[in-house]
Amino acid sequence: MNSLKRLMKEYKSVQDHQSANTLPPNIVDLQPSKPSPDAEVDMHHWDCTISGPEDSPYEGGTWVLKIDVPPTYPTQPPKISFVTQIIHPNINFETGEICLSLLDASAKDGGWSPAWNLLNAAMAIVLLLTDPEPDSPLNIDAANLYRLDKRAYDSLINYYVHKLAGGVGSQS
Amino acid sequence: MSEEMEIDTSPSSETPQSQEVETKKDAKKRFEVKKWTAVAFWSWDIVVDTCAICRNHLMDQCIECQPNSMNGQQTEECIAAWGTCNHAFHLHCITRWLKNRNSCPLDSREWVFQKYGR
Repeated sequence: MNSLKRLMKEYKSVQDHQSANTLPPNIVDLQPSKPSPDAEVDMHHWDCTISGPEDSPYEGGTWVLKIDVPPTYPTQPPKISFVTQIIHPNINFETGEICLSLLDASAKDGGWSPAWNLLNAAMAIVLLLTDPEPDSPLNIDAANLYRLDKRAYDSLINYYVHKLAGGVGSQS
Repeated sequence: MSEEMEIDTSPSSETPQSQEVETKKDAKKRFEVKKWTAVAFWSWDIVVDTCAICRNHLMDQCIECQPNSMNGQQTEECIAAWGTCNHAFHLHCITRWLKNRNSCPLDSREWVFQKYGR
């Protein structure tokens, strides 16, 4: 199974980045998930933690992402979804599903390429936070607000960052 | 072999020969080339030397063929393939991707095979 071998390579590369403290901005953590502390790591399921970019309404929040890697990876893209809830035009608030052409094997332009890796995909999601695509929404209310009232959009996001994503002043 | 090598050096310039004639007058060579060993380095004339799909070096086998060779099983040859965009991948890797979509993984232009090689 070629996906396992390539994932081992990616794991090693990510570990090198972590020990050298050279992970890309806003990528807090990326590693294969462990079902329990004693269990062996599962290379086909990864956990990723990202933080909100500075000077964006997402600043101060952290989100956990779930990455499912198909056995046909890297020919097929990884499936990535938000575990922590988030308000974003291209992310389903209930399911955490992400609409991003990079993660779409059938997208004609800017679709998945086997030259990408899991770290690239996580970086693309961080970029999506500050550059939403309101024309292909998964959260229609957020998309409409983004188009019509940018200030209201920013404060709505900010409110939910504090409420759901551990932002400063969160009431938990 | 060594004779050929010596011939190679002589036509390169004329002034050393005239000097040689002068030294022959002394009937004693100062030194004589007995053995000459040439060393050449080479590498592929491409920017990327790693297959972007499996991340193995293009001159090594692809990630799929690797364990087979460790078991001592010499399966079919694992060669590199170039597209007309000059991007190179292992033939096995790019073939697997092309079943998905006929585009170069690095520039997403239409993929057209240019050449194969090792």
